[in-house]
Amino acid sequence: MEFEPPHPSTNPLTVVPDYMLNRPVTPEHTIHDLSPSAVARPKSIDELSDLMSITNDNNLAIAPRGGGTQISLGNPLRAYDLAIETTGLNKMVSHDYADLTATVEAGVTVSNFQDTLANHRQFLAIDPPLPNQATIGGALAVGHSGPMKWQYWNPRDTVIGMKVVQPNGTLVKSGGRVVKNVSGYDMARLHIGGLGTLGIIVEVSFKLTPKPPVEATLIGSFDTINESLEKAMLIYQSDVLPLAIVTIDNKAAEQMRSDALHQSRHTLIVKLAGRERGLARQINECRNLFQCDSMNEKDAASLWGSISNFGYDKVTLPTLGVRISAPPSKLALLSKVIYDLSTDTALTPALVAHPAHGTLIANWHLDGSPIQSSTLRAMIGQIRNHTRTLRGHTFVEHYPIPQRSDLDVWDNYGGSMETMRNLKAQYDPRGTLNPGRFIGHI
Amino acid sequence: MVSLGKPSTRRLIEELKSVVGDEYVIHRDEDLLVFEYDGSVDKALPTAVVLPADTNEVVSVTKLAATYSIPITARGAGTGLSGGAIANHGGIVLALTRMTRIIQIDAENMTAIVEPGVVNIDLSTATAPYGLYYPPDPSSQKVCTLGGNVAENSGGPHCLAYGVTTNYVLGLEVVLANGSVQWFGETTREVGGYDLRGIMVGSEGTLGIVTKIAVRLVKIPEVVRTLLAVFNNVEDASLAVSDIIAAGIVPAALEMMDKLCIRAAEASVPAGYPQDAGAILLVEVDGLSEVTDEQVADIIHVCNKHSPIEIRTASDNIEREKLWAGRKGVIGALGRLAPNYYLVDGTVPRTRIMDTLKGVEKISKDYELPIGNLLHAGDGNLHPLILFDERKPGDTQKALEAGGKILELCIQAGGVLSGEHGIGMEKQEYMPLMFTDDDMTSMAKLKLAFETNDILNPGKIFPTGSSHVAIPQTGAISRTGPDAFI
Ligand SMILES: Cc1cc2nc3c(=O)[nH]c(=O)nc-3n(C[C@H](O)[C@H](O)[C@H](O)COP(=O)(O)OP(=O)(O)OC[C@H]3O[C@@H](n4cnc5c(N)ncnc54)[C@H](O)[C@@H]3O)c2cc1C
Repeated sequence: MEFEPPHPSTNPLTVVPDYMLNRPVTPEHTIHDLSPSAVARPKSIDELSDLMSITNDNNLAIAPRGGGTQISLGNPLRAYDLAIETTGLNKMVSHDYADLTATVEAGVTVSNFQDTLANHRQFLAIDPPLPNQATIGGALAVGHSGPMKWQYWNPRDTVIGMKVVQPNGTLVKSGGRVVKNVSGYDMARLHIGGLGTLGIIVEVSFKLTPKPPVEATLIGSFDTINESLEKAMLIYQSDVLPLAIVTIDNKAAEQMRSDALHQSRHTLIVKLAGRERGLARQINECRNLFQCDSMNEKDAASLWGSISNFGYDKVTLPTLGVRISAPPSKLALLSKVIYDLSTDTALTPALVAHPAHGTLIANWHLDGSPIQSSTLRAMIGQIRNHTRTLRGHTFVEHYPIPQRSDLDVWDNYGGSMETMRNLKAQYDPRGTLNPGRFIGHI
Repeated sequence: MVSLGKPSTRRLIEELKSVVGDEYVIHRDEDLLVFEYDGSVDKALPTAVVLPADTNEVVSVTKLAATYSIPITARGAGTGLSGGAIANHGGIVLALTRMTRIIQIDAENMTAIVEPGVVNIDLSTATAPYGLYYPPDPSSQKVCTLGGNVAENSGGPHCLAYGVTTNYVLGLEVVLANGSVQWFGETTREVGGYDLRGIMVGSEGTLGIVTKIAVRLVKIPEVVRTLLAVFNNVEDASLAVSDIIAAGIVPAALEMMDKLCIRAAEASVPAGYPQDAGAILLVEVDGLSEVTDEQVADIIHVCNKHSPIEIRTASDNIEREKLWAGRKGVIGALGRLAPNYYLVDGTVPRTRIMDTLKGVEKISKDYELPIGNLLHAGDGNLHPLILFDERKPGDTQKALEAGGKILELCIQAGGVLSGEHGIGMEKQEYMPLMFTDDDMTSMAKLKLAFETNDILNPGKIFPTGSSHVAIPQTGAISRTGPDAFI
């Protein structure tokens, strides 16, 4: 079933009470090339519920917004009447530190949340870009993991309960505040990675991780990206249990402008943590696997920040960018594919990989180069073909706005599009939430 | 209950036989009894049990079910404890126990692809030569299938540090009610679009038939250290549990049993527990040897604050098995104490274990039924065992009511209805305790997004409004063999 845009779209100013439209429309509310007619920032979950029952009744096209850090993700919106900011839902509901769980409203920033947890030496094992700005709800709606994956888990693995306001305004909850639960369907999964297309996440309960007593970051550099990826695989397969393994190619190093990075070489960085003796042993084992230096805490923190933010902060924001998920052992081959294709088009990619997670991020700065949209489309097509043969898929994170409607930024696979459409039809029958923006333009 | 007329039934059986072969369709009443493990309710008798060989046969059978408008209930090893595999509306039981191929082990990338009938432990056995294993380890792991694990989102004693099934499933091949075959996810760590694989896990066979499972594997830990601490009472043991977690230690396993269970176990597998033991904690840590040594020392330190009667540690596998013997022996030993028991499965925040156990004790007094407690304590997952005698008039009903009261208690403590056994037809009537009408409508929409004819495992999860039905679990438990433990 295809979704029609909610037309004729209505001017929110005529149907939503004034007090709800409490924010000015600014350029930052523009998504792709569309601006909303109004902006609302509900101060409570109830207010959001009321607002959404109005937007639903009146077929308003709405786009939820957290910190706005990844607001340009996705396919072009078909319509956009109202932006709803979630940053007014900013209560830290509870930190049940003795239970290693916490509950928080979705508009709290990731940094603020982590700071609260740090009071009891705990943390949430997710690290999205721009955590000072990114909200909990936004980070989950996007659902990608950053470089640090505690034992290589995903954000979805940390969620134990969720409250969501559905497109028609009803508030529903699933899960709870306990770490083990199989009571009914695992509904939160619909919204993690769902980019706010089936409902707006308003409150989340998480399971937390104790902060390891000590941490270390090891860094080494290589002549070729292949060497750095090979060593990364060795560490991945060894006894060592790193928090993060990342490789950065020379071009990405240049863009990150970090003093810690050799700008003409390919870097491998490993983050380890644990107790003193265990850590010492892991450091030793890593040293046997690759030549490296230990970084001091401050430099390491700043470098990990740059890695998380790669592609999202001002200095590294690209014109074109893909995020590939593939078997870890295939990343070297895929890097070569990307270099070769870029050479053909006279473009230079910047590559960051999280090999243990099978993630390869490739970004290009087109900087006004006269590149045809057909060339870009062909290149993405070829990358996708190669990735698919290796049982992976390619998500387009950044794409020039005028050409957006050329492609689906999601890689459609497994024949599951029909089921995804059915989900959208069930939960958002009027197609009011982020219409057109998600996979398959639903 | 769906019943086809005799001629249609005969035609259906013939058509099923032509799909899977004569020997893989079971339809004679006397043969079907094995698959009707709810012995008390004869409406659970399916029309036929079909054992498909592969995905194509599953597709054909599913299409036949649609044509005849009869339900289809998937079944693995039948060890489920909430009645999930019972065909309570009749129809076809699709037993996946012939689909036992391990299709791929990709040691380099630490993933495997298997068919749903593969027995849980067989996967870890097959990957052991590569130094890898599959962590979710339900106590029934020697018999239960990975397909059943996916449907129930099963956990196990080691899910405290390692997580449950959903944390390991990367992708699923699923046959939907209309016979279409779709892959949800793949072998990659991230997926695009809605997380359908996450939605399928724990859906109790109501959304689709899982025909292939891609999972993530983990390196076998270098060392495992096991420790047993004996306390005077459950209060002290519960406090030790919270303190271990609060100290920033997340053990691989953290199990508890109370006096009644200890007594039962001691009578059948003497582990030499002190006579006056009121509660026992079994703690396991794993990882690098340097780390586990320190963790064991820290755990002993924490336990010592709560006046333990005794603390024992094991360093090799033989000693480890000894420490586990009592814990594993409880179920087998309960038969000595009472003819029947009803196993309850709720979860509370770990800090509320002590209060909840006190509440359970009160319920035991109120209903005059002995209740023993086994706990995956680190997760806050309680397994109260209500002892009763079905031959005594009213006893079964009393046991069921007491079970209901315990679940209410769990909910009041901020907990949930089920930690690992699922809702099925056992706890469906309790769903309103935890969920509003809006919550349940939202769940119903999920079902509708997958199928609208209610062919897949109907009559499960959602409340029917009828009074609670007994699920004698003894059948399921005996299926796991003489050394079954919970
Ligand atoms: C002694 C004992 C100990 C146990 N210990 C634990 C424990 O520690 N942790 C725990 O979590 N559970 C435990 N259980 C419960 C049970 O073993 C698990 O729920 C297990 O996952 C069920 O697997 P099974 O193959 O027996 O599935 P079944 O009982 O045959 O089926 C269970 C459900 O799965 C569905 N299903 C089965 N296969 C498929 C498929 N391929 N596609 C779709 N749906 C399917 C069925 O329709 C049914 O709803 C225990 C049970 C016993 C008897």
